[in-house]
Amino acid sequence: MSIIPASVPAPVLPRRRQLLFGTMFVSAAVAMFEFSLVASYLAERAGSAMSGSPRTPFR
Amino acid sequence: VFTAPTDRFVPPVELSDHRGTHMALTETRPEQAVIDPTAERPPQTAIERVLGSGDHKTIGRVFIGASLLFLAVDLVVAALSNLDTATGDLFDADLAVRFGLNHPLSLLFGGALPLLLGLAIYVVPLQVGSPTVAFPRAAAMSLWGWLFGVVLFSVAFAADGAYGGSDLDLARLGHVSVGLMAVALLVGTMCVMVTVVSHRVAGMTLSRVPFFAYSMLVAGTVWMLTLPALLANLTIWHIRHPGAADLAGEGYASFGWIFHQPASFMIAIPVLGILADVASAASGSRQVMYGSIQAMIGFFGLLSFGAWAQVEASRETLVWAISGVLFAVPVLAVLGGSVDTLRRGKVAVSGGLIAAFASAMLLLLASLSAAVAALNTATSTSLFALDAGSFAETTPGLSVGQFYLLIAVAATGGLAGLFHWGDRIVAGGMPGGAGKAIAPIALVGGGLFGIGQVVIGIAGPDESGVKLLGTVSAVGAVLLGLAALVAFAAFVGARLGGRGAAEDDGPGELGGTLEWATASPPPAGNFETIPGPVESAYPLFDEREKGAR
Repeated sequence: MSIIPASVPAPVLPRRRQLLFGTMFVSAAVAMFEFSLVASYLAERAGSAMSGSPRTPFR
Repeated sequence: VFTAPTDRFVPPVELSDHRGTHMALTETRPEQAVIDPTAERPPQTAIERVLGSGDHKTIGRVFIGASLLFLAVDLVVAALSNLDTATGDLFDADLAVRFGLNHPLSLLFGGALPLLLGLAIYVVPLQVGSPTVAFPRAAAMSLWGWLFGVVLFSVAFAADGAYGGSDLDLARLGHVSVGLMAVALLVGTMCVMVTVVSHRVAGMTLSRVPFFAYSMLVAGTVWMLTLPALLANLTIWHIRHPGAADLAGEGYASFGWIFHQPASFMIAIPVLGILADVASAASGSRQVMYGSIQAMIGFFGLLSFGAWAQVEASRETLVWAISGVLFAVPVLAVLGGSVDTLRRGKVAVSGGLIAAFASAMLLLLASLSAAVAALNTATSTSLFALDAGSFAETTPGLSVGQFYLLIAVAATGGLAGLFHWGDRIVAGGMPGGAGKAIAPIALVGGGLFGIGQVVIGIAGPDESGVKLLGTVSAVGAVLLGLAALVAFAAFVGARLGGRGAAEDDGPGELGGTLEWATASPPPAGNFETIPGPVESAYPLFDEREKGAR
């Protein structure tokens, strides 16, 4: 069975910097994700240090 | 041409010619294999048309239909969970925990967010005068990725997995599928945001973008900055290889902040845009304080950014308290502006209009509950004997009720949009009578759903009071679920049946924004000719006024 895409309308308007804005939004989301990962790690590490645990978190 | 001897087996080697057709080394090229590009393709089946579609209208419709159905199911699960909290003996303890932990996630990612996103994927390109959504294939990926995530989550939940389940593999499957749903919804959000920023017709500056499209830009920005923080929590707890009990305990608590103010308010941002657009179209008049309303929607978005308030201590800070008190300000501003718009024209009462104001009322209730929670932190000890409640600990209270209210806001707002833009979405429109019947049910159901829990948090009743109020919440969930189910039936019926001419939905003739400038439903490419350049936020009102002169 071949699935043929339904007719997608051809672009008529000039898409003003579509790729730039798409990349920008996705980059912001990825940056937030990585920032949150680092923040979570630091919070865990601080928690480990406070409790006197000798082991690093996530091991 | 090399031909293999026939007396021994030679495995065929797959080659690809420049046209991408495959041939084996042991075969001669058949003469008939040449593809005639002018040959007519076989007609597509309905399933092929849906599965392979990059048309934002098809994607939006499937999003809307599926999320309405899931919302109805999720609300039944929520009702059962509340009933169990009230009676304490409906399920055994493990099952009660599983219901309690998973129903808010499925309400958020399986019902409320996708309903609003589906509406946006359908309506926003029309509003900005674009023939398509930005990155249509990514939008399709968002739909199917989300649907796959919902199915995985449901399977994990049903088979003793997800949060609180005892089967570790299925518990982790539920955990991962929440991440899949969030990523898929983020991809769709990105497509909508880029559509608003890049696909506007000539003359449509950001200050002239219709309110719903503008509110989706604000909401998308907040979602893009909030959901990745949730994904980070999920990732951390995935790579730790936790046991099922840890996942349901500490793992779940690590992202419990998404159900608390201010982050929980992010699902209500598009509802403000829907309200402002519906009021204008229902009265056939302009919003005279356009910039102020846009600023208020932006302010609401700013307040609802909550990735910073993940730990308990951050929910006792001055910034958190101020944001909680201020939520009501933009809500009242948009509500007041919408009433003023209605006052300026001849109002055509429709299901969409009633539902839009119902969702605003529910949002006002949620904002007031946020103010109460914020005021509670005003002194060094708690000001009131307030029980916040928590999904992570499956305890009833104010935060739980507030989240329920916000789910009701998103659901009722989504229904408002569906009925308001009904004749853009299905030929002939949604049945007007169903809209008018559903809106009050959604208002009452949504109100009871949240208020029952809010009162438990504020009044701290005895056991019989908790039982009564928990039952009230459960009844509210059932009513709201009924509204979603009837809307789903009306939507599918209108889509399959084709009602012909719209009954009594006046806004179709009165709306001033570009989605009303095309046919019902819009053709491929959305517009016969590209509209514009536009000279105001209401180009169709401009045309009407020019014609009248």
